[in-house]
Amino acid sequence: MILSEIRLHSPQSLAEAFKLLEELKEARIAAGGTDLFVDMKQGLIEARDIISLQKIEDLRGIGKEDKGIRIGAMVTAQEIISSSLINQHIPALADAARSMASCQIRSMATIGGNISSAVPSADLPPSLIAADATVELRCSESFREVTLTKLFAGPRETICQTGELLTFIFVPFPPPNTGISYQKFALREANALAVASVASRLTLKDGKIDRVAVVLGAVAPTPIEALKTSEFLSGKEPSQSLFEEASLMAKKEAKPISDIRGSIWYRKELISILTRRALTEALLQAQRKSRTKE
Amino acid sequence: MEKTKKKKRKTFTRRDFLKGFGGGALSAAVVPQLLAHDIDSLRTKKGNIPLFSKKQISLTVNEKKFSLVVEPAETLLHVLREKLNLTGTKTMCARGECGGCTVLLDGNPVYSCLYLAVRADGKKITTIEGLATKEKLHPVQQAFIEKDGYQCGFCTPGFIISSVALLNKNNNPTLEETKNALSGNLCRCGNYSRIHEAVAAASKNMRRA
Amino acid sequence: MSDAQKKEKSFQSGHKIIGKPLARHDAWDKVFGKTVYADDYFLPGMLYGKVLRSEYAAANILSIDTSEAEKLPGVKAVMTAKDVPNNETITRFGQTHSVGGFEGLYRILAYKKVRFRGEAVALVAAETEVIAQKALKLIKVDYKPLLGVFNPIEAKKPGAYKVGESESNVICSYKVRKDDVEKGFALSDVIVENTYRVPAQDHAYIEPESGVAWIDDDGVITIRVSTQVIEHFREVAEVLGLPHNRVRVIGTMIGGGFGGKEDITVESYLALLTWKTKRPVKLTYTREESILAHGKRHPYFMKYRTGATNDGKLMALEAELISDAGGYVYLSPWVLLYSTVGATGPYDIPYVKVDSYTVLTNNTFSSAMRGFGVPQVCFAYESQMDELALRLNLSPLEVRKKNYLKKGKAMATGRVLDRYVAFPETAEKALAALGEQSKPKSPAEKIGRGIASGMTSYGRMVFLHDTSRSYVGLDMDGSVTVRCGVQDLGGGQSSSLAQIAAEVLGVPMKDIKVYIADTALTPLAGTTTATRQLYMSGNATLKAAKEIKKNLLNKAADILEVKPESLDLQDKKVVVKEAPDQTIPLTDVIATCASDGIPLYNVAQFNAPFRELIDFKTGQGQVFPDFTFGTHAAEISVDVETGKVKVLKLVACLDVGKAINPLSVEGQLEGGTIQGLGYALMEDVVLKKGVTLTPSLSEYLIPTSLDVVDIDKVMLESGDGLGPFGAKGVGEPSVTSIAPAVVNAVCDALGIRIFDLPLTPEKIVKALKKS
Repeated sequence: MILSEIRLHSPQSLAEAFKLLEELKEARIAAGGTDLFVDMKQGLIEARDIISLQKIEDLRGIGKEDKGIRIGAMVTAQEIISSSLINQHIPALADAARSMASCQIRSMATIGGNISSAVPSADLPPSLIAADATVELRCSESFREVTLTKLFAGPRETICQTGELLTFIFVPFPPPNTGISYQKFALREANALAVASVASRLTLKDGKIDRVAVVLGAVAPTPIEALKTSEFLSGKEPSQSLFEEASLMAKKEAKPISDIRGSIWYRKELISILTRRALTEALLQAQRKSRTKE
Repeated sequence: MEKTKKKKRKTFTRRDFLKGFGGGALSAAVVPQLLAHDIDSLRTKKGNIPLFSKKQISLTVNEKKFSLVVEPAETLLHVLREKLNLTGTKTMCARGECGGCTVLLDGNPVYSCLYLAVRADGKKITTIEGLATKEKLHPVQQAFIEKDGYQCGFCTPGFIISSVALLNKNNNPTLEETKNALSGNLCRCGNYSRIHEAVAAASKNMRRA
Repeated sequence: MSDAQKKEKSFQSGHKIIGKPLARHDAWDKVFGKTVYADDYFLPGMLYGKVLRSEYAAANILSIDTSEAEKLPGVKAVMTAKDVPNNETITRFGQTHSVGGFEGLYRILAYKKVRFRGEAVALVAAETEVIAQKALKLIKVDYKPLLGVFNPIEAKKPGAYKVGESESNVICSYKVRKDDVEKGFALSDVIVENTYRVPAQDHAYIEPESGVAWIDDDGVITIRVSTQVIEHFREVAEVLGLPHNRVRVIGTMIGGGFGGKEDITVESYLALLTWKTKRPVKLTYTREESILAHGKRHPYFMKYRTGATNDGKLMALEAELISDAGGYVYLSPWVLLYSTVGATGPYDIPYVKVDSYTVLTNNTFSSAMRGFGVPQVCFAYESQMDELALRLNLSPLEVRKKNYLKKGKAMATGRVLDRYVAFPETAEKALAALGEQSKPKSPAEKIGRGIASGMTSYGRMVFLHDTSRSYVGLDMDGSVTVRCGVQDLGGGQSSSLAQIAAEVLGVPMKDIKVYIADTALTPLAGTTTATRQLYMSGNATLKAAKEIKKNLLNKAADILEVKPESLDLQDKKVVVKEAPDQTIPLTDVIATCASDGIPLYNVAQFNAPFRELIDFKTGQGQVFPDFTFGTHAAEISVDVETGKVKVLKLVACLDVGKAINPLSVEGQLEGGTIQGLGYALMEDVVLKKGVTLTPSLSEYLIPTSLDVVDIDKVMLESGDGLGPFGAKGVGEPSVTSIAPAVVNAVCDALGIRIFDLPLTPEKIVKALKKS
């Protein structure tokens, strides 16, 4: 379907954007456009007014702060991949960005868009959640900080209110001896949606698992934390058999649907495999870090 | 050229235009080039179709500056093909899945089918038509000829642009890096190996130069 | 032999231009983006056409109200079935020689009943695409949904929902009978019985269906269209009730065909809209529209029962093939015939029974796709061979070697193979080219290898009395013009003609100009399908060029007072073979010929062998002019946890007869292999009650750069083909045996067999869990 009859508004600042959001309550927000315009072309979304965030400088840039890294909502996947800061401190995020779609999409798609579109199989949220990321939701009057897990309300739904914009993502520096891994399974080696994905963060302390997070993607209405699984792993000594058990628990926590890409059964199988692989890789990273200290 | 015949609809038949060219396949290719500047004015006159919400934009395409009036709904792909007559960039899936519409936007490879023309205001765009200079082919184009990097040729402009984007950033890519950079371009004729070989050959030549 | 060594071999064969890897003449336009494909063409005053398609797979149309759409400003035409002069035609087979017996109803626009989801119901032409799109939404169609039938086995049963009007759902059926198959099973020590299923495959050409049409003051409708068959001008003329010579089709450079642009796609719609509006009209399908509404590769259900003795000799083969023709007949009877004749594969089997059926359903119609019914049966018979090998404790190569057909042996249809059969040669070479087996990189990985052999025809069915024509003309300065109706799919179809003319006339390639694909201006060469163009138009061009050469050499012989046989043409000169420094410039001889009234142009017609219809009760007789024989080999690794298959090595070994342009031939081998790879591992047009669940390229996956590996192409040149200089066709043969090779490799790795394509990771994991 061809797009027709739309008005594009390009605010130059956040203030201008908020004003427009207030005036045009039905307006859709265009970040990179790679989700929005596809949905509009398919007739899934109808919109007359589109507010483009392209010109707002405040939404760009990756910056190092005291406690972590701040990533502007309009930072593209390609910028994440090329960022030495992110590759150094949160390589799993760069890996996730590398696994997204194609080169061209990565030049256009933004981290803010990838999160806000709230597509259950989106690539960036799982590793961000595993890294304890938060987002800022801002409106003309105020702002609030929300953990990423709380942001998602359902498939293609966030808790963002009308008049609110997701302005930046904050990823705290992982604690020492921490590894984060993102494992994605798709039906083709490139340019394919995740059938299932797992991000795992593992912190070692005195040879035991101190803090751990296991986040499941594409197997629930939103990315979800496998809380029972992480509880189970906490405080234990890491081993392959432990990870096997954990992977079976994660499988139970997954709530996938059947569709053209995979059945419920198969997605659950994948979750157990990917959980084990994610934990194994996160452990290796954590062990490497603790060795370099010694 | 003969005077255009007066018709009720104020259009003219192709025959009248071709009378000046001798007809045939050759002139068929020439006609669109010559009429490019007329097509837009014709369109807006046709049936008095109002534009929903027009915007004036300025695009630099292949180092030439263009001032255009577009609808926000028009994609960059549409504007390139139908307003600027740069038909080298192709419509194939219209949803960012195949790479046929790839252009460079400020040096980055993007799917022009998902890029609204108004958002390209003030930006620099390179299409396949802008790669060769008057003196010579771009090394990637040269390599595609030498390595038989095309069959039906429809995906070729997209692949060449993506390859140029890759080599501009990484002048000595491994095969894996090449495949990665080109994984957003589909070739149904299955010519991938030769495309990869062409990129390797081009990178060698570009490094020598 | 390495690629370079093979190329070297060609150079030394004595040909100057044939066998040389040349950049094709279309290279420059393609890398500049200058080629004017169908959608790249604009005319002043051009309208945009769109098609309204049925949302239902099976329904009655109670009424269509186009009044709102017609009122929309900018809309210039809205047409339904009642506006089409001849809306219903009978599908024609063969361009000049009609074959009765399988007459299928074909409608331009749906009338009273729709037979598949996506069937065209109405046409719109408007000033802009946006207006045309809006107009479609304003057309009100009142449908009464009907039950429908979506499985050919169900549709075949008596009492099943009738897809058509009066026809039975079973369009046609064939039999092959060679002796009494039960005798063969009685003589067998081992019997392997399995049912195989293959899905619909989409051509997914990068260029969607597209064309521009206009009407001139003479009332001639010209359609400039991406098509493999310009001869459709006849059908289009009949739809409009015009004499054939009032419709002209110009074929553009095609952005991929693979059989999907073999049937009429946009031509009739364009002709109708331009005829109605008297203005040029463009119609280009969207990708979703293409997946929704154009013909697919036939899905097949294949029951195979194969018997062999303990030492591996095949005794009996019984097969039942049922193909899903979808909503309309199109080319289903012929695809079925190809499958039926090819059901036994390249093997010598004494007792054979094949029964085949093609059945209407309310799925998207099926029609031609690269291989035309042969890749489907190859999957079945090559899986059977590996199953037998397992049971008999023989290697896959051994069991095949004991059974390959040879020159002089007869197929199950009684047709004797009268030319070189490249077995076991291609199988041995393909397997050898795999080299040493790779080692798994992780405990979850298993490596496997497989081979599969195929025999695929080239040239059309002989009872279609196929012909092709080509014009070659020599101008006063020695430059050459070739005019031929051939369409160029990007496989070098027109370049090859230039090479042939250049070779015969001793003129460099740069002095040859080829005009193609115009029904008004180029002699008709027939379809670019059935891997026939090199064979047919190549031979026609060869014939025409040779005629001119004869005239030139006769005249030169007069001038030099020698025998014509002692002369040759080289580098724009007439040379004395024994004394090559004795030459006359070509232009001198041309001038003399011109002055003496000796023609230096020729329109030649090449006729394929003409035979009559085979006996459909026994399937005995000759169907095809010749075959190309080949074997694919594959090495893969499977992640046994996720089921993901990674291709490690691929070999395509075919006897190509003679590689006119090795680069083009290699391109075909690669392309066919990759399409077959997609068929094996990821492509499936999934339909549920006639509704597609893979509407875009996000769901219908085809291989990307990262999914493929370099293919080792081993080209054998027996010189024993029917094409010019002994060439054989390779376009379709290159796809036949790759899917079963990959499947056999996967089964080798896992120790279990999977009987339906594609081998998705989920299917593999399920199969592993079951075993």
